[in-house]
Amino acid sequence: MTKRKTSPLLMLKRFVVNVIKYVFLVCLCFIFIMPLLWMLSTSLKANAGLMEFPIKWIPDNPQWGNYAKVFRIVDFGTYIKNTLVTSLTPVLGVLLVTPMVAYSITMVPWKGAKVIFPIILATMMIPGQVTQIPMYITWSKLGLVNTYVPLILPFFLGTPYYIYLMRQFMKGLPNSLVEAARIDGANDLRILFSIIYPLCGPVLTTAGVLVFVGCWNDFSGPLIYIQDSAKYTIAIGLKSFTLSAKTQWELLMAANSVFTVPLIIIFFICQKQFLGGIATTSGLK
Amino acid sequence: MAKKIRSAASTGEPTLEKKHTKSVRQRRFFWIGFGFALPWIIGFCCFKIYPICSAIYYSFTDFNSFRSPNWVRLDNYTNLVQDKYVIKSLKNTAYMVIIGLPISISFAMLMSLVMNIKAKGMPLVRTILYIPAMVPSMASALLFMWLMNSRYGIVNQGLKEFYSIIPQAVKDFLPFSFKPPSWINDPKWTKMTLIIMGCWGCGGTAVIGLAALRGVPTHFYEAAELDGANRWTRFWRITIPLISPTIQFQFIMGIINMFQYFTQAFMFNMFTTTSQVTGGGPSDSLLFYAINLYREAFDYLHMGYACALAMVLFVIVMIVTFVAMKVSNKMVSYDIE
Amino acid sequence: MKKMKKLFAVVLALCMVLALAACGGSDNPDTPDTPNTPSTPNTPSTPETPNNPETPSTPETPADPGEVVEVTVWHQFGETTENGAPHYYYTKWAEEFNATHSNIHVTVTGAKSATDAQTAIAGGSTPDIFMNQWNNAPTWANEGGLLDLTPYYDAAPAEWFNDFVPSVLALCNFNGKYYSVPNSITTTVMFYRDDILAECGWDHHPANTDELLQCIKDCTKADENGDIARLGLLPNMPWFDTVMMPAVFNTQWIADDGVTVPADKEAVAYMFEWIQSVYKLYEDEFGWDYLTVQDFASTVSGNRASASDPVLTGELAMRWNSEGLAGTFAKLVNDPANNLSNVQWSMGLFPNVTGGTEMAMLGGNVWEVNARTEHPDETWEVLQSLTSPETAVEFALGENNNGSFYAHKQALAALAGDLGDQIAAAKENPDEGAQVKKNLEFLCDVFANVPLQSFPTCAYVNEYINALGTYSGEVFAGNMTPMEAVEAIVADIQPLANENPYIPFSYQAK
Repeated sequence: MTKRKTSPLLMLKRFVVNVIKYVFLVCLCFIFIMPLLWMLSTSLKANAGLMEFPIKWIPDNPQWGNYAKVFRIVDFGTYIKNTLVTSLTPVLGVLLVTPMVAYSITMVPWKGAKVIFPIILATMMIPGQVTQIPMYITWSKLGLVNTYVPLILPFFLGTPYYIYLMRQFMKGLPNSLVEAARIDGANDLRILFSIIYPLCGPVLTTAGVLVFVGCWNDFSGPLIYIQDSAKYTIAIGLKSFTLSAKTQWELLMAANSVFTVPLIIIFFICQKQFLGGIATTSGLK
Repeated sequence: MAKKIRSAASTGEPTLEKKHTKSVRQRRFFWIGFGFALPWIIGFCCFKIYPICSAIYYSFTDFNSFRSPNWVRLDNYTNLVQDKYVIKSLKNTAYMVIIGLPISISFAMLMSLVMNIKAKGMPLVRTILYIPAMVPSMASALLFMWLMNSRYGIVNQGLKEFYSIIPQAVKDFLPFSFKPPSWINDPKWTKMTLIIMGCWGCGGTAVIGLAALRGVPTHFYEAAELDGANRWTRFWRITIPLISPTIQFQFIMGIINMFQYFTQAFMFNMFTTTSQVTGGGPSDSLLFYAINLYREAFDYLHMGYACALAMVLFVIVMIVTFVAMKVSNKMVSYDIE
Repeated sequence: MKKMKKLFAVVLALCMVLALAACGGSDNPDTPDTPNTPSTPNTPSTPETPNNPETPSTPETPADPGEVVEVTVWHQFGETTENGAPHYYYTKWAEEFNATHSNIHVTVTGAKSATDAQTAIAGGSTPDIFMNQWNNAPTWANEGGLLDLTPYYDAAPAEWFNDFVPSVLALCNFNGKYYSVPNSITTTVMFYRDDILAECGWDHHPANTDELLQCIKDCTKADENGDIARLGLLPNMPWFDTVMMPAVFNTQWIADDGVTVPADKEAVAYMFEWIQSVYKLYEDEFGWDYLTVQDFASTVSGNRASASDPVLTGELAMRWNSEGLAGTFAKLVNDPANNLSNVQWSMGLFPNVTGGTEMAMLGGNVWEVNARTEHPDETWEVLQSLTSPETAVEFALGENNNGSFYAHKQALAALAGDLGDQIAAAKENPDEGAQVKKNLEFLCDVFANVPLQSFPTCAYVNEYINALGTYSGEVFAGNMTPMEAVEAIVADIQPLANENPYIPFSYQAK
């Protein structure tokens, strides 16, 4: 693109387009960053109400003590340690297993593929509220209640949502690739992990991030399966806090900020991988 | 497609061995396919079949989650047809699927296009656009209710400003006098409020769309540009077809999720009505199918009835999804040459 | 290739076995998940035999003297280590209990909602003791989730039983049997802005509902644009009180025959009409329709219990709220940073309909025992300690050191006396201390001396509450007349009432 000649008129045009673009982006960002700003500013107020008109984005007298209080009341250290276990392992599971299952139903010509896919879709159509108790009974029979296994193992057994997502992406890949590799004598594990896997870079990273965020935010699963407070995760910590802080919005929002900021940082770092996706894909011919 | 590969691969081989090779290959592919799908098969057998079968079984019983169930034949299903809450909740859910889904999907796709703009500081922009989806749902629901507050909320302030700049001459012709909607308390608007809230928290869906856009090989664009295609044509001729599988995915998942719409409405009702029993919002305008199901299962302890509700929902979603799949399959292309 | 096949066969077999283990073993979800549990001396009696008191159950395999029995206790409060939070007191109590009992070990876990407990109970014997809202207790008892505690109540010492506030035991009784033990109690009181009332010509609190309506009218004020500057009262903020209102309007949700709902249709219709008349007043006198008022309500309700609480800012002249707000108000008003020194507020009971008797609503949390508990006797021992008068006195210090109300006469007396002084003295600001002391005296008096009315503990209590909420909302929104709403409620609830006759509770001290 830089190869083009730069005439003054073109430069002006590009300048105007850029201005419009950035103004648009800034406005949009403002709408989307509001929850964070609001959370942070409320968390620094004293005796804050929820509805304030007009809103004061910068509190007169920032109460940093609210954060100290939150850390004093809730044991975030232990919770974060536990949460890393319950949210990083599922990422590993999803990245490892879902491409395999998706590969089986898209790239391998076998009869099961046509049967499995509709079943995968169908399993998502039954509301979780009615399978919750039988699920709990299953885990309890296996003696795995009050461990992290019920929270982690399902991700190693193929998550329907991500299998479907992977399937859509793999169907878009040229079949000739796999076929050529098979003729070259590569086995399917190698085809999957050294050819397909890199091609799915962007979607895999996306799935990883989504799973991480989902597990980080999930409090209903841990609340059902974990019975020992030493094993509680940060989402339960937050819920706990909500239960006892009631309408002390400033403390509640301080806790929410402590909960969210690490996530935002992780996302910010990870999304560089989305960019990384381009190079790999465009390298393909 | 699979057949094509197989026949293409076997054309080079001698005809005598062809039949034999084919069956060997078939068996080999079976084991490969089976092996790769094995984690899912294990998961399905161990952790899905039993819960699903017991939910089906419970739907013919008076199971209450504590006592052993008694067989009641089709009673749950016959009661269900006459239940006015079921009909009410189906109507509300249909609204979300028919009106809410197209809005939220188009908005999410728009956001993924925005995330894909080339500009300085895009990593930051992408992160910011994803923030509402990362903030704990309680905090974002609270904030959203503040934004949509009908007296002072930013949305209605904006609408009022907008109305005030319309010249009086035009206002005289308008058949109605403008009053900004009561987003939270007016049963006519509450569902729209939730849809807008869904758009605002569309980060997850948008990021998937972004991944699809990222997957479009750049040489397609380069080639098209050489052919003199403008942005608009490139978008419709290249981008859309290439990401059509993802759009289809979002559409199908959207149908499945909208029919089971629960969390946001549950949260919303919790903040607007303080009742000991799961509520349905103003005039039951937010009584969705899954909310009603939850209330039956956990407030009234009618687990058997709730299972029957779930089965009916399952059948409805299955039919709708099947039709949607059939229709959309024609529009989706998996390879473009 | 062959190896692979074998491997697959093995894995497949394994997975089938697992699946079978998961399915086969749990076809009957009401058998506890350990095989060697005592056969059911302790299953709750079914409603078909309601008048067949059981003898105290003894498990067939009494615990060895050397064996330590694990008893789990789940509560619904946050797991915060803050001094003054309920969790702090429960864990403290558990430590003391474990130190003095060698044969039982208690674990306390917080943040467990009723839904979590329901799932866990459906799947096994954990938790042994859990906390539940009063409105779930009768339903759960009726459906067989709870252990019948009547034999234990009968065997319990008189000083334990007699210390409970009598009306609270009504919340724990279902069809003549005890299924739960009272924990905390709560009521709703009116919070008045005395300075605003005085400004509008009211030197006393309204004495009855007619006066209240007049007072609401006098205290309501429009701003220069005709918008709401102040409302007298918001009848459904924070909520429409299904427990208090019938007490105020002199009726009952279930008639004395135990079957007819409600006892007096006219009285209930009049109750709806009265609340509607508040909205009508706003519409007729000030031009604010129902939606406008509701929008105002959702605006101000977000500031509840903060320094910009609508009562403190003067946006509401009065409000009913649960009594817990009193401590918060005392703190906020006396905090110089909030500039609220001009605010004069006080509490009172809700005015009655003319000719009615003075009553207050009653709600609260209760402790219950899992019907599948493996060690009922040990569990009861734990529960009795958790709900003993002495423990309640200790717990009463809680709720962020503003005092919390437990359903015990001793605890209430202590809060009104020494303990209240102790709490007041611990406050940095003496004005706040004095205010807290005054609050505690008033509220303890309400709990101890005012007749407390609770929602009837019928098997269909949740359905009833839902119908009341739904149809009353339709009345206030102007979509139904009060009588239509009452008829709709009757149409929904009467069939359930016919199936499940309600047996009222009668208290008898030991």
